[in-house]
Formats: sequence, structure tokens, C-alpha cells
Amino acid sequence: MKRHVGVGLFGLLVGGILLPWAPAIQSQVAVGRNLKMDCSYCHNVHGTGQFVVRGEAAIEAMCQTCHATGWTDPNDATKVAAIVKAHELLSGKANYGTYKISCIGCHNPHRYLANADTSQPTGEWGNLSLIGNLVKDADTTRDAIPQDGIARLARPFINDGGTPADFSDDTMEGYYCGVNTVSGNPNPCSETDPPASSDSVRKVVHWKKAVDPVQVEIDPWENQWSQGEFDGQKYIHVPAPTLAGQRWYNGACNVCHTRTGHHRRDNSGGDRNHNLEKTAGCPECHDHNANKGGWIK
Amino acid sequence: MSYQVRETGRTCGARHRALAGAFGIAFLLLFALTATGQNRLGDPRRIAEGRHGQLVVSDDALGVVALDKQTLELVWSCPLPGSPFAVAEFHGLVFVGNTATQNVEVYRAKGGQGKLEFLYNLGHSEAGQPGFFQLPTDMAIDARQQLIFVLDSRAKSVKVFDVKGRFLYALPPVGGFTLLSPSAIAVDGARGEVLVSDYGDPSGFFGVNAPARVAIYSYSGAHLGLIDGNKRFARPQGLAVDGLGRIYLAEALLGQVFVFDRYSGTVIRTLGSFGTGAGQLALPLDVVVDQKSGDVFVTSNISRRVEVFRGAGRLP
Repeated sequence: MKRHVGVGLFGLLVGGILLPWAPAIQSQVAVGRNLKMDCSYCHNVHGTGQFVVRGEAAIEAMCQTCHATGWTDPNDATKVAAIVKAHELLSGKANYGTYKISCIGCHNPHRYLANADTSQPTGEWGNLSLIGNLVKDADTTRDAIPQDGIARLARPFINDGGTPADFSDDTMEGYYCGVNTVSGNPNPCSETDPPASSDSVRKVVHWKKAVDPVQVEIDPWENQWSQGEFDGQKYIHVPAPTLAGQRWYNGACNVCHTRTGHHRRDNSGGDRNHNLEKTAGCPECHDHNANKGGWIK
Repeated sequence: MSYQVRETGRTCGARHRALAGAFGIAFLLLFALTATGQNRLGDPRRIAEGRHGQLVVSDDALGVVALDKQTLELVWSCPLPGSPFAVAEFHGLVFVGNTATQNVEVYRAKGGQGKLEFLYNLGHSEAGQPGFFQLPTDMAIDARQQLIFVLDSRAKSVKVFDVKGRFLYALPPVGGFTLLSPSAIAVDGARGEVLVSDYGDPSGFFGVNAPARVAIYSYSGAHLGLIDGNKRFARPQGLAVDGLGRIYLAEALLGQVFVFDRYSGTVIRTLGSFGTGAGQLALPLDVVVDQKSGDVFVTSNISRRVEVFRGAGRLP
């Protein structure tokens, strides 16, 4: 009897420890339920640090078993994630170094909100949350939320107040600073030398996680969408019919494309700018599915 | 039914000529390949046997690509509009399942150097119009019976044509063993069988709760059996069958090729492991077996190349 009680207590202890992390990938379609896939598919649970990600290639492969193969779910909502491949083409090009983006650069694998399709109950359908789903300033800035599950994302130097972000801790994985695209000279790049909004220099910083907590505030401009709260964080739903070309999706793009000196969409500087401030959504021209010609539709 | 042969201007030359005509991305990737001699593609998907000791590969970035079987060097490439997915070659005709145009486009390969001349769409839908298919993701050809099998993944059916492009019938027949999430197809001409890889319904989308599998049909659509993926494979993609009926299956999630015994369904061996290094596979999407040499060729999508396992098809 004592032995049974001991086993039971041990089980409760283990369960209590593991349960908070148990449902790793919450996408209904991502998990091959007939095949063993658990935390260890993405995380090296025995590595140093907390839940080291095993490899983005493996994670990307998991996503693309559906999203690169034309597989369609009953709602026909599956998108070929060609935008990842289009970004990959930047790798190795001048000024981009080893720059790379993968699925989890924009989608949070641990958070599953119906940010694309509210016709289905949250947790049933939708897609993996985009970074920027939890917002501070609507449309123009998107910051990652600490503990958001993003293994690596691109984050600009400029923080909210225009002063350099604090890179004093060890959370920065690495960064790349290219040459000045106007002068052609190598651009000094440091933590205390962020690009001005008028700079045409390309700077992309890869972070393991965001440093500063973001106070979540809902911009009235976005109140037209339904809102909710998840894990203490506010979020916004986007009605399904608005998926195509929706400005909401600018958020994930703007993490790089507004807050770095490259491809700004607010016409504030840099090359290939757009003057589309709140007038158009990135997906109106840049399709998630498109794979050629700079993924222009 | 007659059809009009049309010149579309979609012509592609050999490697040294293709550079001039390829658009931006193709240019860059081709240059990299030429400069380094590496077998590096853009976005390789399906692969099929071609003529002149070549393999033809559909590539969403480069179009249709031909590789030399021995060296895996690129011989020619032809950028195509849309999104080429399924690909097959038969007596100088190149068939391309285009998921953007929803057509299976038929080209004549001229001169063995990749000059492709557009002929018609399978089912004879008009060029430039939405075609006969919803999502033509794979195809297979029975050369002896001169039948073309096209998997329409979204329609969940296999459509069968003759080599003149005339639609004959579809399978599975009404009331037959249904396809759930079909992904790829192969035919076993010796046995008159059609094999369809299928993601199944592991999460119960369709209320079936079936694991991934490979469904086997006769040419007439009779269900002959299946290879159950339960706890073995979850994302089955391209298939191939060798002369002894052994089934080669690319498993996209695990980064492996499974070799099954046709009759027992047991795994005889596996090829590759997940990764982007030599001999490794990252998102393998199709496999083809050279019946003479036993070489097994696999498209590894994320590592953007074709991986070859020399002689791996020569099993005891």
C-alpha cells in the first residue's frame, strides 16, 4: 500500500511539473498524432539552458510537410509557406550575411489563437499566432512578448522611445550590420549605434527572445476587431473574410520592415520604401504564397 | 478530339543558354550551381525518370529542371509560369502539373536539351484558363499501357488519361475506398496497381481518425490493400515501386525513405536520416528508383538538392 501511495505521489509530482509545458505545438494539424511527436521533437530537453531548440530546419520541415506540399485542410485554409523560401534567398547575398528567417520567426508555435478565422472557436481553428498579435502600437510597431515562445526573431535596434534597446544581457544571439547602401562603406554597427530612421543601412538583429516586457495596450483603431485575453495578455481576432491583404498581418512584417532601415513601409528612409502608412496591408502585394520575383503577387 | 499545337515562346536551352533567358532568381541559383558544381536547386518537389540518362525535377523557383543521373549536374532548366508541382516524362513529352494554373501542361522536349514547346493541357482545357484539376500534385505513367495517372489532391481522386490527353476515368469509384488527404502517387505497371500516399485523418478532421497510409488500388479502382502508417510514418509523400514490387516512400517529417515489402507491409530498410548534410534528407518530397542501377534519387526540399543513394535499390 505504501508503495502504491509512493508511486501515486511521484506521479502527481511529475505531472505537476510537466503539465504547464505539456501542450507544446497547439496546431491541430501540426502534430502527427499517430507518430510520437512531443516536446523533444523541437526541443533538446537535456541540453544546456531551458528547452534549447533542437534545430530550426527540423521545425520548419514539420510545418512544411503540409505548407509546402499543397496539402489542404477541410477549410482550404492551408497556405503554401513560400514566403519563408523567398526570404531564404537573401541568405548569402551582399549585406545579408547569414540572415535567415523560418516559420517560427513569425509564428509562435506555443500560442494558438484564431487570428485568421473566428468562425471557429479559439483553440479549434485558426493558425499559429503571428508575432505582433499582441500589440502595443497598432500597425506601426510590433514587439515580441517575452516568453512568447519565439526561438529567434528579428528585432531592430530602435526601441519604443527612440533610444537604443538594452542589449546588455546575453539574450542576443547575433546580429549583422551591412554596408551603407548609399556610400558603400562598411557601416559601424554596435549596440549603441542604432540606425536613424533616415539611414539606408540594413541592420537586422537576431534575438533568442525579447528583453523588455511590453505593456499591452489596445489601440482604438483596432477595436473593430474582436479582442480577448489569453494567459493574461490581450489579443485581437481578425474576422476571417479580412485575411487577404489585411493590414493586421503587417505586424509580423513590420518587426523588420518598419523598424529597420530596409524596406520601410512608412517612407521614413532606407531603400525601396513604400508610402503606405495605414493605407494598405503588406499581403496585398506580397503574398504569403508567392515565391518568385521578390514574392510580389 | 483534336487539339491545336501552339508555340508559346516557352523555350529553354541548355545550361549555357539558359542563363541568358532565366529570370532573376533562377539566374542567381543557376549561377551558383554553375560556379560551384553543386547540385543546388531552388525549391525541388517531384522527380521522375527522363530521357538520355536524365532526371526531371519540378522546382517552384526554377521551373522544370533536368539533372544528369550520374553527376547530378544540372543539364537544363526551364522556368515556367505558375507553380509546377507534378512532373513526368514520356517519349519526349514533359507533363507538368501546375497548381497555380490548375492544369497539367504538356510540353514537347526538343533536342534533348530542354527546349520545351507547349502543346496542350491535359483534358484539353484552354491555355490560360482554369484547368481540369484543382490541385495536381503528382502523376505517374504506365508506359506499356500508355496511361497517365494524375493525382488531384484537393479533389481526392486520381484521374486517368491516355497519352493523347483524353480523360478516361477517375478513381476511386463512387462508393470505393476513399482518399482522405492524398499527397502523391505511383503506378506498378507489372501488377496493374495504383499506389497513393495519404496523410490520412489522424486528428479527425473528416471524422475518420485514420492514420497516414499508402492505399493500393487496381487500375479499375478496386481497393487491394493499404500500408498502415500507424506509429511508423505520418507525412508520406512521393512513392516509387521497383521491379520486385517493393515500395519506396519518402517520409517528409522524419527525413527518411522507407522501403516496404509490397505484400507484408513490413519495412525492409530505411534510407537517409533527417538533416541537411550529405546523405541526409530535409523535407523529402519524392523518390525515384533507377530499375537498372538500383540508384535511388530523392528530392530534399529544404536542402534544395537531389540526394542519391547509389545501389540502394539492389536489395536481397
